[in-house]
Amino acid sequence: MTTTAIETSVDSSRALHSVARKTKIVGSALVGPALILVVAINVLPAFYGFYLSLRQVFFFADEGYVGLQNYVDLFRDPFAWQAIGRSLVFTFGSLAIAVPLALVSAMGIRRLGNWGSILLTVLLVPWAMSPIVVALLWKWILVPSPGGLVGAIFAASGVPPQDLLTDPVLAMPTLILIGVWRNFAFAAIILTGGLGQIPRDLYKAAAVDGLGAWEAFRKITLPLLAPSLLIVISMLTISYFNEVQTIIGLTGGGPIRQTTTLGYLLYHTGFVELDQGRGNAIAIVMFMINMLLIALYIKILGKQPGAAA
Amino acid sequence: MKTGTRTWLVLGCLLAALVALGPIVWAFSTSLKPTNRIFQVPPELIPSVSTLDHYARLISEGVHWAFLNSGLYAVMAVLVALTLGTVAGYSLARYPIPGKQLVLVLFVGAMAVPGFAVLLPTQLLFVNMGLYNTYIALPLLYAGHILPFAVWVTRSHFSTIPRELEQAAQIDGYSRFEAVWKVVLPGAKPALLAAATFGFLHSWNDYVTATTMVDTPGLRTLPVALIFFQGFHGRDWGALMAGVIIATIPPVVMFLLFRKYLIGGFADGSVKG
Amino acid sequence: MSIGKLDRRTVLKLGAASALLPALSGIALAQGQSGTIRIWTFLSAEGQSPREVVLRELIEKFTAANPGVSVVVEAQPFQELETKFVAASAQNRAPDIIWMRDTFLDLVNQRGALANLDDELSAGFQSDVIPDLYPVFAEKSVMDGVRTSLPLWPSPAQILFYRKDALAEIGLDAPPLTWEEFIPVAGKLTSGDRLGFGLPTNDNSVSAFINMMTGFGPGIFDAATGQFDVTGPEAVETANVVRQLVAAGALSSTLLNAMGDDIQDQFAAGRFAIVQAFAPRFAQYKSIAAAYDPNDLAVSAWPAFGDRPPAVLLGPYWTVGVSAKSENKAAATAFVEALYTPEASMQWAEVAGLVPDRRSVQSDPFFSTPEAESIAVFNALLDAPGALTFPPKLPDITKVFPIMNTALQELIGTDEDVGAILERAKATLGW
Repeated sequence: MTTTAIETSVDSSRALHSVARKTKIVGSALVGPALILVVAINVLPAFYGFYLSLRQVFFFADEGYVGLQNYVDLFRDPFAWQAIGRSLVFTFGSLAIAVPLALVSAMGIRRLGNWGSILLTVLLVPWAMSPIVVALLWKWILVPSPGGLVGAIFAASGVPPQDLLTDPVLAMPTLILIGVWRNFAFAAIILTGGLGQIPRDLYKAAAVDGLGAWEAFRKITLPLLAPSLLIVISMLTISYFNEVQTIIGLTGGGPIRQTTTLGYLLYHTGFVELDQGRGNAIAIVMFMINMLLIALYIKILGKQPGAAA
Repeated sequence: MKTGTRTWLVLGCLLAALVALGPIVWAFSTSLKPTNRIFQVPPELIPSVSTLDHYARLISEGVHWAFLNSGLYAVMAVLVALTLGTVAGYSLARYPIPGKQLVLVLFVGAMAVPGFAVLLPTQLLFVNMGLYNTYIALPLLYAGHILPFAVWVTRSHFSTIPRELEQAAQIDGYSRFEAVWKVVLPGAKPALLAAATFGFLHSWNDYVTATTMVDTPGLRTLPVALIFFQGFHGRDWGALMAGVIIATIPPVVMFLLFRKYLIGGFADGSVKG
Repeated sequence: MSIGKLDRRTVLKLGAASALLPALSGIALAQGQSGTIRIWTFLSAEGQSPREVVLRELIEKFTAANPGVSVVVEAQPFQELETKFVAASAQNRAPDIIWMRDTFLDLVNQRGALANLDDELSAGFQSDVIPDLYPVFAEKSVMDGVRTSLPLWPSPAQILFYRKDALAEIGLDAPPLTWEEFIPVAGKLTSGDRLGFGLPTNDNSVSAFINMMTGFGPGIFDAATGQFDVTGPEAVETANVVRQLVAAGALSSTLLNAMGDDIQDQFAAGRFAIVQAFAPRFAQYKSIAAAYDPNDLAVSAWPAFGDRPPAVLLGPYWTVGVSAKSENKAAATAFVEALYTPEASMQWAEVAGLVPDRRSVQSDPFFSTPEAESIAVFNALLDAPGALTFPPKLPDITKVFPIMNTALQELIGTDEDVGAILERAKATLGW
């Protein structure tokens, strides 16, 4: 009796083992195709790019292994540092306008109810557009002529048409505003959702306590909205840091390198100067920075109670 | 609410809507003007003389084929990514998988690869695989780009659905596949539609991948075809703005149709990424 | 060739992904079939512009005469032709015929992508047609004794377009042809919203600075290296002229990174009196003129320095080559030859307003009609004593234009010392 019992239990544990192995195999088989495609499309080329970044490649001719020379040259190049600086100006300049604007919009949208959701939809139309199409569109709108849209608005208000894209002072702010135009509504959606999760009772209680609107905003809205704000900030940071198509289309990195961000420098080095080894080195640096940003993003998301991730 | 506040709110909203849509309305207006009136001073918002010449020109130069290519590529990419992504998302949520953490890191890491940074190596790889300049080059690439997101969204969704739901269905005599198909998937519809909309927008709106992965005019996408109108003789603003309008309609329609899921998904926190 | 090595290593890395290959290769487009010639040009097969119309007619004529051959035009963006061609050649998928700019000939030829036309062109073509082409263009395609391409559409490249009405305001018919006299005139032409002078400074294959420097003649390019002295006295003098143009109010310091296309749009809207423009766009400039009478548009050579003749820089211009890897070199070369028949030259001239490639057809009565007036103007510029081309081997061709453009932007937009700006450009170029 006892021996049989032991045997049975051994048997069942074996059976359990084989079931576990089977589910592992099934699970892996189900993940497999997606994993292969992602590795083939995203990961393999990245490794290959890293390999190329260790070689001197110019105009499609591989002139051999150079070790870390491309990286050393890059970090010795004052223009590369300037590009990192311009990336920061573009990213944080855009954030500084987009986030408050999104917050104000989100609060307005919530107050408006149904009309608010219509407004949100309208504001999101630019976000649904292709970046290259946005670049074409704004190039036309900003034509510095009284026949252009912005030129006509300037002319109507008595100001001569301005060279918004070719003036060394104005070019970057103009790009930032276009970036905000394209993306801020996306931040507004998330903030609208975040605002919806703040219990209304809190505001009623605050009103009873005699808190003014500003104090209620500062003491209730901001702290409770902090998780959503963090999500918005992380997502927009990544998006603005990688912006390149509108820069290519609108300013070509100029005037005098003022809009040459790291992303644009990568495009210029790899696709215009065709210094492909060095271009890939810039790509790897950008990849690292992106990984850092995403790690930060996941950490922020992970801390959120009830976060789906 | 006080009427004063309300008035300001309405004014603010109108201004916001004007800033958001004004540029597109202007593009539409330009696309209807005859070429010699495009630089007219002062400009007219509603053209006194209007023409469909620019749209006709896009068609006479075969841009409608590029439009169809763009649509076809986007749909193919979304189908592939959603199918593979849902299966993978489900199994990541339900099955023990060796090295699961690593797999997840790979999917997230893939999202960190700036697409245009790997164009050159991707091009060389595709040439060697015989995929360069084929009908499936772009759908395959787009599917690869949007897959991590599809996996992420579906996995998040499946993790929130109690396992007992499928188990109950299985006790009722359904196979596991049937249980998932009939019980779990319908509930995932918002997540799937949000991922599909995202995927469509990504694929439709891409320019850099399309311009480096195909050479043959018959395989080109709409944004690539449009760039030819800022061509060798300078920019043809009428045709370019007609192209801007045409390129903007599908993503906006797609977005309007599924905005409920997209906005809902973002707003309640079920979709992130 | 080292590109082969890249490919083999890549293949080794493919691993799992290569399993897809057999299934997919059937879908790959058939390439290089016998009897098909693929052409990469910036002209589109469906296009409606005059040059596209002529190309289509020439193809129809050619395929009628050679029914076994089909000609496929695959238009590419004009700035990317050379890059795409070299990449395609390295990957064995190059078209049979390529349109490319003369400035890239050396680099593309170094990559072994171009066929030796001496071996391909028919004897009749070599003996009769080549001597009838403009020698200054035809001989520039000869690299180390080998003919790598044929020039198409002889024309000055970046020259000055001006408005006669604007110059008439200050009592002139045409811009002065020395910088010394040009500067005050350009300054006087600035009035109200209009600027006296407009320079594009953001195109990757055009440098206004180099165009201005050509006012010192072809001697600015070192015969051995093809480089010019970025910090030499000619460059400094050119930079000083730029500064004087700014001081005179002729150039705007808020218009720093305009592209040729921007300048063209704004010229149409009346922003400039004189601009640097691409000569073959003359007809296009006329057709979009909004703020002035199109008949007031005129063409001028560049002013020169001292007593040198006015400068005309003949490049970059288009040349046509045959791929070294073409499996159809005979048919491809036959088609290229068909672009240079006297009839073809007449079509380019009559339909598209281009200077004919064959000099001998210029005796045709068409060239003395008013319709051919702009061709006569361009012809005169081609024959001008100050006409010159880029050196056959201008090194760092992908870098030199953007770097000189940034330097020009700095000259126009900042007060920084001229020497420091040029020194930095030189260091960035590594010359």
